[in-house]
Amino acid sequence: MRNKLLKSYIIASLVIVIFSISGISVSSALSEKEVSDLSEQYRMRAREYEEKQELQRAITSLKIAGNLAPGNKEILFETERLVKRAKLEAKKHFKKGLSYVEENDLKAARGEFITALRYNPDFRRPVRYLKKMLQSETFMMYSVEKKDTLKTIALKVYQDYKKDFLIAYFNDLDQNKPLAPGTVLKLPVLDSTLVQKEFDAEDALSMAKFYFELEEYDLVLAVSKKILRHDSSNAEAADLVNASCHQMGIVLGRQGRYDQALEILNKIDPDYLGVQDVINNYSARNKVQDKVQKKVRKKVQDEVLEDVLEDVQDEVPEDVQDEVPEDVQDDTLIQKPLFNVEDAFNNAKFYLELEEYDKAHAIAGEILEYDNSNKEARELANASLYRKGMQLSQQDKYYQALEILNEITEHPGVPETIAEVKQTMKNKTETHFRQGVKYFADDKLEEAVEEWEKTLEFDPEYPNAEKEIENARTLILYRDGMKLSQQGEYGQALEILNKITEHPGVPEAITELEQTMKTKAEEHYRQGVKYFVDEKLKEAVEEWEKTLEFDPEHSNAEKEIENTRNLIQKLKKNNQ
Amino acid sequence: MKTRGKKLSALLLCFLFLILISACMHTQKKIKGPQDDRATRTYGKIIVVKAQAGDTFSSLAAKYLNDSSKDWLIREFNDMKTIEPGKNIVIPRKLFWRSRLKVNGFQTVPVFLYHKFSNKTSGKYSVTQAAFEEQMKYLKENEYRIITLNQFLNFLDYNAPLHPKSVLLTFDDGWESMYDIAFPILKKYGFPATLFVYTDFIGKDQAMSWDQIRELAEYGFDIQCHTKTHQDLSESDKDESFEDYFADLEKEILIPSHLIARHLNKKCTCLAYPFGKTNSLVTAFLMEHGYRAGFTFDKGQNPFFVNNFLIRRTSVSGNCTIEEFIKNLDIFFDERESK
Repeated sequence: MRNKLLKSYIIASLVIVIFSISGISVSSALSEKEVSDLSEQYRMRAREYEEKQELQRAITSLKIAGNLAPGNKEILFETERLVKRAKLEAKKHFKKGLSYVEENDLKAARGEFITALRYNPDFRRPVRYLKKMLQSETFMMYSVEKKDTLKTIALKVYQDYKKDFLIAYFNDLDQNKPLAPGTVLKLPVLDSTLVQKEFDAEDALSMAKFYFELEEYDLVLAVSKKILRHDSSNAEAADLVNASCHQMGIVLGRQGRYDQALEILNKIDPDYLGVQDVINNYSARNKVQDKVQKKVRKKVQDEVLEDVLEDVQDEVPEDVQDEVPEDVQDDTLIQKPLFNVEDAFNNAKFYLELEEYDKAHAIAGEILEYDNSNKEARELANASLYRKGMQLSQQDKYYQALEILNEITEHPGVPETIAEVKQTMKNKTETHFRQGVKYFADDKLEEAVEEWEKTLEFDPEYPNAEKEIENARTLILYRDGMKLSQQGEYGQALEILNKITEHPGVPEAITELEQTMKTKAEEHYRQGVKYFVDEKLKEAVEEWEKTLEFDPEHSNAEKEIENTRNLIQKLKKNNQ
Repeated sequence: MKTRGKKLSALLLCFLFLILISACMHTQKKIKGPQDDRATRTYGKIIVVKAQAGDTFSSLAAKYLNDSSKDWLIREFNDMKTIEPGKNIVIPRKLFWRSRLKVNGFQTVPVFLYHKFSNKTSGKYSVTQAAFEEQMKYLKENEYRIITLNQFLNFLDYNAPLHPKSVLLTFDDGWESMYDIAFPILKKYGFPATLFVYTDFIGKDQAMSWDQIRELAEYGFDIQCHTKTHQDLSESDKDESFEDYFADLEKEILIPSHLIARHLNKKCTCLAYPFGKTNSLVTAFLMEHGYRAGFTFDKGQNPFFVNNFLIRRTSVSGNCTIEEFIKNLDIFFDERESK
């Protein structure tokens, strides 16, 4: 009975186990054989694709095969090989495409780029090129240069300074703020339809005037002439042509290039105001200059130069000397021909605008040395002094400002300015001095000194300030010295107190301190001796060193230290 | 009696124990992934499924890729035309390849443009209901895939593969007849659509209302920008200064997108140029404001590397026959032919 039961249990459990295992096999899709068959199938497919040169499909098939048979190293190897090959082919075709682009054969280039992508769809560079080739540039990049403004850039790029707002729009700029050189701006490329419209005389005129303000006379001429081609009766344009030629002539004249100046000036309408005078003037100078240059070339020495100048002066016709127009300097002939007053004056003016007042003043000074009667140079010298003075005054440096302002020679308004500055200075100094006094009363000595020093900054001659400062400083030293001595830092205290020159109580304090220090020194010396007797040699030395701190001239301490140190050495040796 | 009872309980225990073991083994070997009764198994990045009767590529795509419209991916992946029950189907779990480039050419997406519709009469911009029905029916029966604007933009970005027979349907202006006539037909075939509306038109006599537009948006159509007044953006008026022209440009593009955003809570990313006309400044402006594409009336094909801001469209007129319509379904550019 039992055996039978046992048997049936065994059979039952076996059945159950078999069922479970079969349950497993029922739930799995493929047998191992099916999987490997499938894997092989894809491998075969991969080879077929490879032969057809469809590398991407081959790679995909191999990857599937690899997924189905993860441990198979051969498949891995084949996959890697194919992937490498595909990438190489892709690169090859991409490079070919690039060379077609350079030859401007865009159709062929496109073919190569697409082939590259067929081999390696993840290769981004051909994608970018394909996109780029079919798109004309929407933006161009522009790097801001030193004197660029939005208007000048718009003029350069769009031939229309009024398109400055466009540049600001696309670069998020504030039109009123200056541009930093080196900034890279993106400028929209405008179709020709947007840039060149029908010729608009009004537009062109305002452009020409804009150029005139920029002193770009070549451009003014170009635009004005264009206007005149469209409408030969346009008076404003004709005027601008004359005006720019005139300016160009004068600029050349100032540089001494009379030949070129005359060439241009002779193009101007002879009725144009003042032109004839300038022409005559320059003609005369031109002749003179030629002669001078010839002589200078022959004889180079200074004394000879003077002879030359004397000759020259006699040859200048009188009427020319009198009729020189206002905007031209008349010093060049009479003085040394090598110092160009006009140039120097312009330089000085330039420096004045740049707020380099010292340089402006220096140059003005040079001109005045040259010709003491040069009114404009004097004006400029005064102007630079004045502005410098104001600058200093704004920086609260009233004393220095006054020094400078006082150099100005007779100029309306200056005495009043000087008085004003003086008053401001006085107010400031008073304020600070009184503040110093308040601090002093509250025993805030350092703050008091600060205030008084400020006073002196504003007015180095302020009465009493120096005295008060010294006084306060002494008190500070005294206070610090006493504090240190109370803390037992006698050496430092003495150092400080010895700095005080005149102060009641200090000599006594010093004497006291010195006494204290001597006492302390003796104390430590005796202690050292005690330690020595007790055979505590190290401690003895320490004490005697302290002795020397308090009394560096303690004769015994020094000797004892030396002896004891030797003893310590000897003992060490004995012990070893 | 006692011993028998003991034995019985022992038996019971063994039984339970075995059940436990088998249950554990059972669950251990079960597949990771969708639980079902069929035979499937995962191997790394792929799933292998034994096809059963009644399976279609779409049903498999729905089950294993959570998207029935990815059916074509499975078909291409297995290089098979139909499903034979009993065969093993390999389904990629992740994007295996993005290549849409065939050996001899590349895919292009035709974009069709419609304006208004009518029941009977046809005109240059008006297509009859019957003609539209015929065209949509053709697309459906010949297994063309109508894509959304987003899918088209992704295609342009070379981001994901598209069904090889993809088409984009666009409707300009916002005519009410589109809502009345075209919308039901599109719904019937389950086709998505993209509308480009010009906002000054909305609510006027022959135009849709904002409510109708909203309904279309909620259904799933894309609503994009077609300027404010439908003026030609490419040229300024004779007397207009450049600054005024630019200000106009700003108005014509930014105001409608603002309105659309307000009404539909969606941002505009595309613009259809009125009269199909544009210029480089308009492109620059659109790029500056984050737009992704601009649609013209130019004829031609759209490969993925076409200029985003010069998308070509085929305008379907009222006179367009079905043969002409079919001819314009350019979904492939054969490089060998072009040589």
